[in-house]
Amino acid sequence: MGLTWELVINSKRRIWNAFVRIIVLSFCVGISSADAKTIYQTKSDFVNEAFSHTPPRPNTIWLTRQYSPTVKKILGHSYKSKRIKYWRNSAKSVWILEEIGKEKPITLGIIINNKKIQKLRVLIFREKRGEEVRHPFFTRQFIDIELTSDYQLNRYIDGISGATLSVNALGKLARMALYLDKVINEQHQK
Amino acid sequence: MNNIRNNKITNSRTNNRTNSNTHSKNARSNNKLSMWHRRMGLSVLLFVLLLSITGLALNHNDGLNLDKKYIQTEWILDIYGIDTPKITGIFSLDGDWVYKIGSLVFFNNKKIESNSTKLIAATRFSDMNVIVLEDSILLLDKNGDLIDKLSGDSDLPDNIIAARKTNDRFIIKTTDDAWETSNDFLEWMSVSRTSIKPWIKPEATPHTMKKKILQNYRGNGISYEKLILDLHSGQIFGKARIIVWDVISIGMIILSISGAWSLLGKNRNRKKKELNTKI
Repeated sequence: MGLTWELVINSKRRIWNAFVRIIVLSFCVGISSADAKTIYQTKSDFVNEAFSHTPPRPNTIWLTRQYSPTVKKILGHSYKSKRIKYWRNSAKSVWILEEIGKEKPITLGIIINNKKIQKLRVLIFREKRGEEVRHPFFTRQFIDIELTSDYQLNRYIDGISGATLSVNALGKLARMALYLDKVINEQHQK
Repeated sequence: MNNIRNNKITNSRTNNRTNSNTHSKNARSNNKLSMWHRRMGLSVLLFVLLLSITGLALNHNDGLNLDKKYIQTEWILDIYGIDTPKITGIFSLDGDWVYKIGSLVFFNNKKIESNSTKLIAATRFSDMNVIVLEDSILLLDKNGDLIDKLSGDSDLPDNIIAARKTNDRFIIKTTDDAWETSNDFLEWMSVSRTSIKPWIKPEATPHTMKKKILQNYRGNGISYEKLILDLHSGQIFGKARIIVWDVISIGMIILSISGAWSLLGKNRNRKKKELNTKI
């Protein structure tokens, strides 16, 4: 009888311990997934890769009154900073821009060559949903895309169900990068 | 005749005894009722006073301008969840102030960074306000608008612990090394750490600034009107309000009924006593 009672108590303890562990583990998983930030490629790696590991010195473009209205029109709001860093050689320009998807910023690397997007890549994704936009099946749609005279993309981009806000964010940044590339080319020609 | 008279007297005495027994019973129950009435009264006294005083104040709200006067007492603000975090780092920039309170960094009254790491330094450099945090550098214009934010990876070395400036170079010290940049903050070059130079240090928070900072952080605080309303309605008791106020209300109902019953009982007894005395 005593032995049976001991067994009952021990099994109850085991069940309780397992229950507590499950709760704690769920909590930890919950916390970690709540603040997810995935770095797919670092900014420096992206820039190095774009210029075959010999990147030029970075430059900046200031979003003055001349340019900020157009940027605001493209994004639907002012860009978060007044100065944007870029890398440029005679062949291409490289931009690293950020735009909020639903709640958190998405960091995007864009290579522009001859006024067309050569490559677009999600470098850092911080949202809980919409991560599908980082995949090549989506981003390759931007290759060779250009900007129209009214600052739209000259081709339709197929969206992803459940990732509309992330899709929109990428579209806006692509337009913005194409616009800024146009601006710096005009500046350099002068 | 005498028998009738005696019977009358006996009956009267019996009646008196019966009546006095009843009278004692009534008196005892009245005494008990009075005792409970007094106890109930004492129990709800505080709340009755609270309701009366707050009610009076609210009745004269306009005259007292209670909505325009604010409470700054910390324990009261704590009840309302308005915390008072520490000011950890304050720098003066030729008339402007950069400071960190809680996890927020401010440029004067403007919040410029949330969930911030440690504020290392802030200074004017190359027509910009440069704010150095542990993991990033914010470049602001003279109005406190963000020009650029440098953080990690290609923009900035990690783990900054100090910063200083010269005429044309801005230097930061990290846990591993020291780095300098020119006035565009685009590239960083490693420099020698051996020479000890004065690094930018935070200042002591002036008392007037502290008050302004806390006010800016917390807003005006709670108005007297708000506090009195919450006391009057019981909102200040939070979720327990319903139970507390129900108990008080029931207590006051019992108080009213017991008071009225006790008074009526006394009147009844007094009349009966008068009647018995006449007989």
